Amino acid sequence: MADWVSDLAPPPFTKADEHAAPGAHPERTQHRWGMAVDLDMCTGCGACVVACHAENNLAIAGPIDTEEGRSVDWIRIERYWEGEYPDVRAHFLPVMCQHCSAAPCEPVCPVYATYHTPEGLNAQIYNRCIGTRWCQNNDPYNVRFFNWFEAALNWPEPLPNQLNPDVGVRSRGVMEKCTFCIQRIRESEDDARVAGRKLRDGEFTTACAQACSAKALVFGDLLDHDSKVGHMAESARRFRLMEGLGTEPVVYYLKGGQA
Amino acid sequence: MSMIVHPPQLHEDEKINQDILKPIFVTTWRWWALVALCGAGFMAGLAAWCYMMATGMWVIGYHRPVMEGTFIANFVFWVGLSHSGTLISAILRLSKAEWRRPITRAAEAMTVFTVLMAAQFPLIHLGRTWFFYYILPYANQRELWTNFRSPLAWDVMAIMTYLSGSFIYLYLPTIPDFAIARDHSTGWRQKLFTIVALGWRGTRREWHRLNTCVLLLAVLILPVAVSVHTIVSWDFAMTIAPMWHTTIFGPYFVLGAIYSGMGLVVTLTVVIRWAFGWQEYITPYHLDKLSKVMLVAAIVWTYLWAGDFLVTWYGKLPEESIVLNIKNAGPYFWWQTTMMLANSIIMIPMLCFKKVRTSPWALLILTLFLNVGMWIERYLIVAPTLVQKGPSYTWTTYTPTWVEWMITLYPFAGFVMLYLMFVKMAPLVPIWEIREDKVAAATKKMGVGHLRALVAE
Amino acid sequence: MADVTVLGVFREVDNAAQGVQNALKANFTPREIDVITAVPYPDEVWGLPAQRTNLRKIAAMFWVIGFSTGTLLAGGSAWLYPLPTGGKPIFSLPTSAIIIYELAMLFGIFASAIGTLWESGLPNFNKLPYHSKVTEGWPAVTVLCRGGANVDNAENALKSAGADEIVRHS
Repeated sequence: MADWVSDLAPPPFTKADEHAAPGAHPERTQHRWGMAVDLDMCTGCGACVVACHAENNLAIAGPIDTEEGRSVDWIRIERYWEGEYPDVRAHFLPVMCQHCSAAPCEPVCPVYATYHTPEGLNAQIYNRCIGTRWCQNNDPYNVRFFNWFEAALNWPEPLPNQLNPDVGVRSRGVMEKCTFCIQRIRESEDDARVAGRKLRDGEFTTACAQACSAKALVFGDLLDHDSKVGHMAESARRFRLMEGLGTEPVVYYLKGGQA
Repeated sequence: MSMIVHPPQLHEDEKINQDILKPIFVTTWRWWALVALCGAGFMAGLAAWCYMMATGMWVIGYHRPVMEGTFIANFVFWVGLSHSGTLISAILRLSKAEWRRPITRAAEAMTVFTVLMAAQFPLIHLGRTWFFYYILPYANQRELWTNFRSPLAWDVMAIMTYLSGSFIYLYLPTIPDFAIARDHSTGWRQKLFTIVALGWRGTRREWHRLNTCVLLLAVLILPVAVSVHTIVSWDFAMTIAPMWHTTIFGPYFVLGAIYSGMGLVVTLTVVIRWAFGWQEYITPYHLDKLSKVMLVAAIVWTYLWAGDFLVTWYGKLPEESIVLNIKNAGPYFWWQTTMMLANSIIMIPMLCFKKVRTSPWALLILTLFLNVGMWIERYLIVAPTLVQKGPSYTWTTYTPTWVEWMITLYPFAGFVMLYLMFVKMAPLVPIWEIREDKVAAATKKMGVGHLRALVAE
Repeated sequence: MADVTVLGVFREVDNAAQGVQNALKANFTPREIDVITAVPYPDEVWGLPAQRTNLRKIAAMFWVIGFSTGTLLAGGSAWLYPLPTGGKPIFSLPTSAIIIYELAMLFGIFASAIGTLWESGLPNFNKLPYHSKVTEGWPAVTVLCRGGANVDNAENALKSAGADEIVRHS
């Protein structure tokens, strides 16, 4: 069937290989990276945010810039309050890029700066980005970040020494977003390939999941049904953010147990 | 060689030439003052743009998730203004509306200059303006192409087609008038007009081809003009943002564009008529006709706006209601009230009176107010959706900064400046078309043939 | 002998039309007679055969070329560099149709403009038979005398129709 004909019917989103670019490396289509967030476990401590900053060389924004909404936080803890004082309860919702299978942010980019990798990641290519920022307009989760400042100039000494050499720093004028720590994914995949074995579940994880002391964040391969994230994604407590929009996120939230 | 010499006589058509060519040759201090003023405004805006590029986009009021604001509102506004030049001229030409004749050139020039202004805003808006050419489909060694599935890429193609088409549609019918200017000028002006007139003489073949081509262009440019603002609307409508994702945006944008463009055409007509003393060529009759077109546009625009409003308000989808509520009651209440006053509540009843439709002063005030309203309309499309979309945790407010206001004034200064220069470059009223109209009106039978075809053209 | 063009300037359109008729009677062919005016008149005014043009065909042809270019650009570039975005197909007809449409229109518009100039022989900065009174509103009739023959006949034809001024161009 011609591709434009298939445009008339919603394309299937269940298997990663159906998103594979023609000619893509076959091994790269074996995984469908995803995440599960157990909201009943989340304490809202913010360790994931800090870990992400350290791992991915996120630009540091001061209190004024943060107040003005120009900070860069690939993962944030949304805090919602319930009830009236003194009977108040806080709800925490860690939100990062949902790596949607039908990502609305991707097709609106006129220069292919964001696209879907064969492993289902929503990739951002900084060098190609010209900063139309239209991806953020069409992003219902508001998890894409624009570089308002020249980040490379904004690290006060001695912070430049802690920059992660595996990750670049982004220049002013481009969009950036959560990559699911693609540098860790690639490293582990290459290790496994060199050793001639399959990637094992739990062999690596993203910075935020690694830092989560409550083990609320779990990262892994959704295609692997024995993986922890695979189990969680099939939990009865699962839901996804704004599912009604049909964006097919791969971040599963779990809620409804005792907490 | 034989030669019959008559005493020099002034042909009656020569008076039209003299009247309309006058602004080209006679430059008043008012012209210089206005050019200086607009030039200063233009440079100030350019400086603000350069400052923003050099410093970073944090100098404007944008922040997550308000990734656009005044710049895109300006873009939509200026593309919109362009729509009543070429589009209306083409419609009137095809429908053989004879009253169009004195107005077409001024309107077509308006289109070219407003599109030139509009086309800068996507560039101003870019985070990395210096890499704007990534969006153009050119073969390069990285084998990167444009993503033609993106509405922004459609926009680029549509604007390029529209700008080229409008320029051609302005230039070709001006060639005979350049020839008139060439025959009436001396010195460097004659050299310039000789070049731009391309050696036009006015032979049968030249006229025949020109008339064919102008009609052909009118047919081709009409759907392009409609497509341009439709595609601009699709920049919004193709997203899944609340109150952007609506099917009515295509016709609503096109109608709004025609409406605000008609406003600018009337403004320009009134000003030109007064500034050059062309009351003889642009009469209250023409103003009345233009105002009637504007009245129709006003009514249809109001209808489409009401259609969008009522459906959203009645439907009460949570995401959309949030955005609608901040327009109806929240921080955007006064913006929306001003818009409705300017575009509908005052305009429609006023234009029902012939006294208003033929009064230059009343029209000037009404149309200037209208375009304030239309700018607000564009701002209200862009801003409220972005400040309260997505998770409520990320909701915010948006206030444009001085850099944005300077850059908002920049195209106004630039447009007036370009227009003033155009006045010195080309006859602002199409001389040959006016004369053709006079010929057609005066005579039924001419030469050995009848004028049926001429009148019908 | 080289070709000579006789040009007569008239005050009135009726006289100019008479000049054309006189020249036709003097056995000049319609191809050798031309009228230069500042305002377009239909061919019937001069009693000359109606003109035909290929402009519409040229525009239609380039419209089709533009259509194909758009197809190649939108479809071809997507296949050359297939990047999946947002679950959308690599080549989708609805989105490509917009690019195809715009390019077809662009080519059509350019072709009509360039075709017009080409068919009317513009730009041409050579000294061709012309009189600067034309733009003041005086119609002029030109008669081409091939090889310089019958120049007097041509002049008489225009003079008897009431030409104000007669000039020879060679």
